[in-house]
Amino acid sequence: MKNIAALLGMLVTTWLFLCPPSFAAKGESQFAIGLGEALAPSLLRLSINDVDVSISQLLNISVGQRFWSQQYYTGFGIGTKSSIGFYGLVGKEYRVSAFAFSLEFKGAGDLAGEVRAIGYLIGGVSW
Amino acid sequence: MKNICLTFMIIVGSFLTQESFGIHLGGGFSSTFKGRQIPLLGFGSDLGKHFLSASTVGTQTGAYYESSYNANYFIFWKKWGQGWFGEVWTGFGGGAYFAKKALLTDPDTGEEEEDLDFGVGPAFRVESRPFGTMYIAIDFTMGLGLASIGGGWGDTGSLTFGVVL
Repeated sequence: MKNIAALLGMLVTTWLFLCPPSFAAKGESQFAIGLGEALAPSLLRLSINDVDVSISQLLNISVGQRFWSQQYYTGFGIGTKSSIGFYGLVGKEYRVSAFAFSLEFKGAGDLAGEVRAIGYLIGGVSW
Repeated sequence: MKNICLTFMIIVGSFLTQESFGIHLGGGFSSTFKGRQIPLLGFGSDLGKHFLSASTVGTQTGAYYESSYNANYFIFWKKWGQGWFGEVWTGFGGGAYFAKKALLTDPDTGEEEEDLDFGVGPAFRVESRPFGTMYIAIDFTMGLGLASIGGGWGDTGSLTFGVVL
């Protein structure tokens, strides 16, 4: 087990050395999975040209648009839970080669009166 | 309860004396009632680079009542761009909430069991303005009060539809 951990550590270190972390940028496409409450997978998202299409426990299927300010982004979208719902998000995204990791905070409310907020740890492939 | 209302009004009122770039007035729903459609009254004041928001929501029946108050001050308030949903603005800052509820435990004597909840902590707001002066906003306050001792955020949030006056 120690050998495997050491090998993985070396691989990750080499990878980080060859592809140093940077910040994601406006317009990048991404396929990502988000870990929500109790770090359970609760978000699946495809982003193309800063348009997000998500399947999540908050709003079922939702579509939104993202705006960037350096490595920070914010977004606003519309979802399908309880007929219609809205969400807003703020986040910051790091990129290591083709993989992107972000911390995102999303608040959502729908017309049935349900309002919730959830933080996500998101990882995915960017291109 | 009167003191709470008075304090809330003084806090909100003190910001009204500052120059405002738009008064936000709207209604919506709050997370306080966990999905019940109790209308919320929302207020906001755009102070240029800062933003103040406040809301109140409550209900009363013969058996119980609950009142909740929330105020947030966003020290960072920025327009991010214009897209499908009009202008999108985001704020980061801090806020506080206070909630009081009571359940009638003995109808004969009118005895009530009361519960108070409060929290202070970071807050954020995302707002879109799809039709010029109309806005849709989501506010959240991540309270570090009594509720957080139990192992979670004592958060409160609201979805508000309104107009910028």
